[in-house]
Amino acid sequence: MSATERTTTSGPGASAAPRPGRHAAEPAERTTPYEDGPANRPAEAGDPGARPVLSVEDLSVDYSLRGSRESRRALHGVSLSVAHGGMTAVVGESGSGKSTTASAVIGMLAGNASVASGSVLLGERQLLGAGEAELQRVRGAHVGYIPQDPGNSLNPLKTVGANVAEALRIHRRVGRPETRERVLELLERVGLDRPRLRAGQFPHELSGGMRQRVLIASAIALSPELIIADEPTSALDVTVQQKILDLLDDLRREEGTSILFITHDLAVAGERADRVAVMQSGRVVEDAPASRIFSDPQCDYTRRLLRDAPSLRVVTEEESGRGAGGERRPAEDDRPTGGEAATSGGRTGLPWGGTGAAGPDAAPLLSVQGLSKVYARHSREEDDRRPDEASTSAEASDTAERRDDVIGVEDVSFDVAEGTTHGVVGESGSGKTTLGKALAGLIAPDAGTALVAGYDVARLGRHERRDFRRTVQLVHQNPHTAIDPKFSIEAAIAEPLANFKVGTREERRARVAEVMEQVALPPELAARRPRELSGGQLQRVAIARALVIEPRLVVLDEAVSALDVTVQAQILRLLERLQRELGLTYLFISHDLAVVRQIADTVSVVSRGHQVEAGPARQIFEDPRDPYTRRLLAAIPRPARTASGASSSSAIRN
Amino acid sequence: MRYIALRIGQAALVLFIAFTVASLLLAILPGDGVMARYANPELGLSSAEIEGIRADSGADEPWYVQYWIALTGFLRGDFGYSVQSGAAVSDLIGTALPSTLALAATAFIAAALAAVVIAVLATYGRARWLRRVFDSVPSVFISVPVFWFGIILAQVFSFQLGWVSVVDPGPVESLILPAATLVLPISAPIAQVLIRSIDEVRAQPFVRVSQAKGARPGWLLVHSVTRNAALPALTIAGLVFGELVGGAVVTETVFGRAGIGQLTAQAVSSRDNPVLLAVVVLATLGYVIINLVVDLLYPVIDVRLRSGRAKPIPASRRIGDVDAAPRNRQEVAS
Repeated sequence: MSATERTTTSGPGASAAPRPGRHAAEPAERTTPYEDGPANRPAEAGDPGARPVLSVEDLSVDYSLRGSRESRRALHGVSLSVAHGGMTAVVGESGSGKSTTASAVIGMLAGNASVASGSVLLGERQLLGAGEAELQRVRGAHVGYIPQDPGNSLNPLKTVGANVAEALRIHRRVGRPETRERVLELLERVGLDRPRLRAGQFPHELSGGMRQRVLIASAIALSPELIIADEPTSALDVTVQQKILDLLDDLRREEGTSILFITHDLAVAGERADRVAVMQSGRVVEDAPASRIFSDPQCDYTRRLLRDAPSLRVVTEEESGRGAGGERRPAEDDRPTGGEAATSGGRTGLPWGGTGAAGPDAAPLLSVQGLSKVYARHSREEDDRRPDEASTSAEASDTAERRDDVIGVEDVSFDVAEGTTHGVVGESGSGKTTLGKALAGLIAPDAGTALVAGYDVARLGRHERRDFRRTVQLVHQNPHTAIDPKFSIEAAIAEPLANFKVGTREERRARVAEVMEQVALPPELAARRPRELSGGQLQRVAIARALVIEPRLVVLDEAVSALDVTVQAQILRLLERLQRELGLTYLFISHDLAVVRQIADTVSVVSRGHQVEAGPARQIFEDPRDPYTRRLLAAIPRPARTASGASSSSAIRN
Repeated sequence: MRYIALRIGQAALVLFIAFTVASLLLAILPGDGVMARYANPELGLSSAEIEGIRADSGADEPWYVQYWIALTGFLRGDFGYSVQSGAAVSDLIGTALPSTLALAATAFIAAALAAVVIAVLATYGRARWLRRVFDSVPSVFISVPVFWFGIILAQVFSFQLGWVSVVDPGPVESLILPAATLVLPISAPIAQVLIRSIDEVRAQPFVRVSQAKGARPGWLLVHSVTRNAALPALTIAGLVFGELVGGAVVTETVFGRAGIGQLTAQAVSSRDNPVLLAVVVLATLGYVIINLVVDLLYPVIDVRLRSGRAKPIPASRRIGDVDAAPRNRQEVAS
């Protein structure tokens, strides 16, 4: 496959000079767009020579800058295509231009954006330069759109049924009674139970997964040839994501719908798409069949993405049979190349040395016994509003499902040895953040004890509480909101020192410089404001601020979840290095199993307020006992499926 | 139901507080209505005679006795007698109220329509310059003094163009210019809030989703934006009721309309405390009723407020704003 692909894709580009064999000859040249006329490329799915449903060629888009006549180019000659019944994934990090590409296809670019050149063919129809009236006829009827955030993408004041009926009403295809019938049919089609009831409900009465189903129903209302799905599962839990992706696969198989799938998640792209276009800074740097992207990536940037995506790393690990080395070892490989390799083993005598460190011989820094903080409780039977989860309850009777749902956490117990990392994994609403807050002393538990470095979190006196705050620090998910925008970076990092009245002004300044060096922030950033820094840099600032008063336990609540994979990998490497150098203990809270697998020595899995499983990371990930854990693990996208056997992807296509 | 009973209780409390604060402020001020009326040297009354009148009218009682008499009177529905004219306050108000209600209702409806037109043109106007012009209209409106604008309107439309008569006009004719004057200060805040909330709603993902279904801008405005943008505008519409009361004082004086506004202006100049107290209570009552209606409309417009506990929280928070505002208005007016 890859040999033929190479010859076909190296054909003359649509507008530029031919670049024979550029993938083989110039793998480093990643700034050049992948020029590839769809006419030269056999359609991926089924019948070669068939015209693709969507073909974007040499698309360039400019954004005019505020208050000046200058403009910035956001897309540089982007070319890609979607075959009939196929799924092309556009993968890239934030700011890579993937969403701009999607918007340009349906002529819904932002007001300050303009198309500089290119062509967008939907079948035979040229969409670029088409009038607004024609675009309005195309949108909804020929191109469906599934947005990223199901939370805000349905009109909150309209019933679910009215939301789905919008497309039918706008295009005036059918009369009122038929509309209602069609809406119920659509809701059933996307797997919502009791469509009649759902149609009369309002969006806020539905769970995230159900809302995304409703959005899919309204996107397919008029059976469009193409669906543009812009990060359709990024806001969803991993088990819900899996079901939504399955639904999209069904639609392709049964209705022959083609999908342009925008995602930041290379693993999802690899698992579901048959063609992947990797974008970086407004250019398509690699465009190839999904299987080849994973087995034989041509471009450096793709390789970096593959290396940094935690879930993919696990796959690679399994394939190469290195799994026995322990779960956090892959990060070690990155240390010398990571650019952050510092004095290794700066502090010795720390209980670091593989999973053995988490063993019972080391005295636990953190000891949690029967900790509970319950906000509300529902019995399982009454909860019929979430079929996304309820439908799976038939499969297994796992620990959580035998008990009532708890909002908050109930009866959680684990020990964490000093200098190790304990991962807390769970989906949204599982209570993992409540647990983190309780351990950071921000909320008082209802019952149970949590001993952190000798302090009993539940019974802290006023003075003890102050000392305790120096022992435990918290790092949040979103550094943009966690750091006061009016503070300079230096002031933000020095804030805890000032609060605890540590040292003189000069000493604080010196200490801030020291931690900034530890977290690899260039000293010249000290005088900057938070808005001038990138997300990754800001998260380093947040970590530096946590470390500046030398805590022993750091609670990381989804600390890398908002970051792009390459940045995420850098921050994870940083955390590991800091742990090694400073002997820190982490409580690492995340919804992302792959990340937890990478960084944690021991793991607790929580679901609906209950701890369903706890133990060494390797045991949890390789031999999960609880059905819920198994389900979570099974839901992680695995591009290996497509990479190892092209059979599964071809089954989808036909 | 419990919610409504609670709100009515709150309204009664607001009325009581408004009455008390108004009484106290009037008592603190030096002089009284009797002095203002009879101490005129032209009447040639001796100080002993004036003291006699004061004793007869109860004006020499300590303030708390006067307060108690007035309060019990109000509870019985007896608003007392005007010091200035000697007429029953309830009669004075009964005569003045209908014309003011007609003015207020006309002005309010016209202002609401104007606000919608301004907001739609400022956000959905075809040309950029058009949107800009209408975007700045609210700030212009709010900066124009009501009395000045009223005089200008009378000058231009009545005296120069002769379209509307201000001297002895018919019942409908007499409403046009005063209502037009009041539209300015009332429509401006509503339009301003509406523009911002339309902009905000338009940026919501669900509007983009509807656009991606092929909807035209007009369809989006009607089906997706309007109801979602209405809520903040409704809140502000309730709050500008105070503007209506203050505006009525000025407009009725400028156009010589007999109404609550004119009654208030006269009562202030003659220190006619019983009339002032009654006006304060009346204005507060109007305020409380309008805002109760607004609060009850929320769940009608926004389904998310219909369920359970979510409702009283924003409502009670808003009550705090509501009971402070009318008092201030009245204090400024008196």
